[in-house]
Amino acid sequence: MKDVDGPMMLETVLGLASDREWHDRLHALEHEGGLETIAIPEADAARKRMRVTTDRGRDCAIALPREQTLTDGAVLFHDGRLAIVVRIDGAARMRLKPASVDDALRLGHWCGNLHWKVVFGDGVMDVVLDGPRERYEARLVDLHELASFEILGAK
Amino acid sequence: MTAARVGIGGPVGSGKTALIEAMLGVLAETGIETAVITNDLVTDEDAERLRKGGKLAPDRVRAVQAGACPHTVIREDPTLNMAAADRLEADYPGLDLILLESGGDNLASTFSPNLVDYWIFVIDVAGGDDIPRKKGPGILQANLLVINKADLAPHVGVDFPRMLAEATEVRGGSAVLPTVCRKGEGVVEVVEHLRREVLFK
Ligand SMILES: Nc1nc2c(ncn2[C@@H]2O[C@H](COP(=O)(O)OP(=O)(O)O)[C@@H](O)[C@H]2O)c(=O)[nH]1
Ligand SMILES: [Mg+2]
Repeated sequence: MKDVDGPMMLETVLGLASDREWHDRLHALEHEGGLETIAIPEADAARKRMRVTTDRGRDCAIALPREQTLTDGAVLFHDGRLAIVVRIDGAARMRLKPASVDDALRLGHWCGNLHWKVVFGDGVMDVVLDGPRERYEARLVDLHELASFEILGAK
Repeated sequence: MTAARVGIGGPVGSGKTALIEAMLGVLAETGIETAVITNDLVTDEDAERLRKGGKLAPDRVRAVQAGACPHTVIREDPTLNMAAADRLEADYPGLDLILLESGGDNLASTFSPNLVDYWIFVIDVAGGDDIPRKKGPGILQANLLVINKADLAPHVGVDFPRMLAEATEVRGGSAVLPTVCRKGEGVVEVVEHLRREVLFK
């Protein structure tokens, strides 16, 4: 099923780098140059299968069971000499601040219709950006006539 | 290893079912155990067509009726499709691949990562060479964009190489493959692509 040139199969999450037992083991390996990292963009973290390359250029294929999830620090391989750990690269965000409750209702409804992924904060909403920020700002241009809100950190 | 779940979306009539029909032959030759879930609005039309095609045992083709906008059952609430995929995996333990065809939808349709590991968006030449330039989320976000009916380009005044180049450009270099599904052209390349990116077999 896997030929000699095939990718290294990573089929389960063994643990988390932040767990005590793993922390010590990985630390030791890191000194010996046996720790490799796979960087995964936040937008892809929900996927269960993907072809990836480690920071040292190792060709890998992730195929997790449906009930497991890729999180930052997930250990996918360890054999005493080599360990492979996932790093989730946080996506850029765009912060939106509505002027009033009425404006917040409009803003929330609008962004929901666009299927944007958001994280709610104290009086603000952070849009998780999957692509260039300008593309997201362009989608808000027409809303300015209907609702009063600020785009924080906008250029 | 679990069976890979691959979504196939795109506008009505672009050739989603035709792509699946053509892929089934190639997949069988490669020894990849496959099943299909179709999503039609209120019928099982596509499922019946695939069963009649005879490339898969009839029970390996399951139908989900979306009832409403097709994207709701692949993005907002994909539970019906997830349950159908779980049942297929339970019924056929050696399964390598489950293809999920979405009902024909608009350029904004996307698949939930909770439902599929990978998804293909199928557009066709006859829909117009401006479709890639319109940058719908389906075209931008799909893991693979297939441009089908390349054979029709001369009949509808489309500069096909330019359409391919523009599609690759708006997708920032992500994969774009040309096909003529009715004649099976380009389909081996689609299957090879899936084997590398998501089947690992
Ligand atoms: N000329 C041409 N017609 C095609 C091709 N692929 C599919 N078709 C035709 O396009 C129509 C719609 O195809 P279908 O697979 O049902 O599209 P779906 O709605 O996306 O599933 C059918 O009449 C097919 O025979 C192709 O590569 N070339
Ligand atoms: Mg169809």
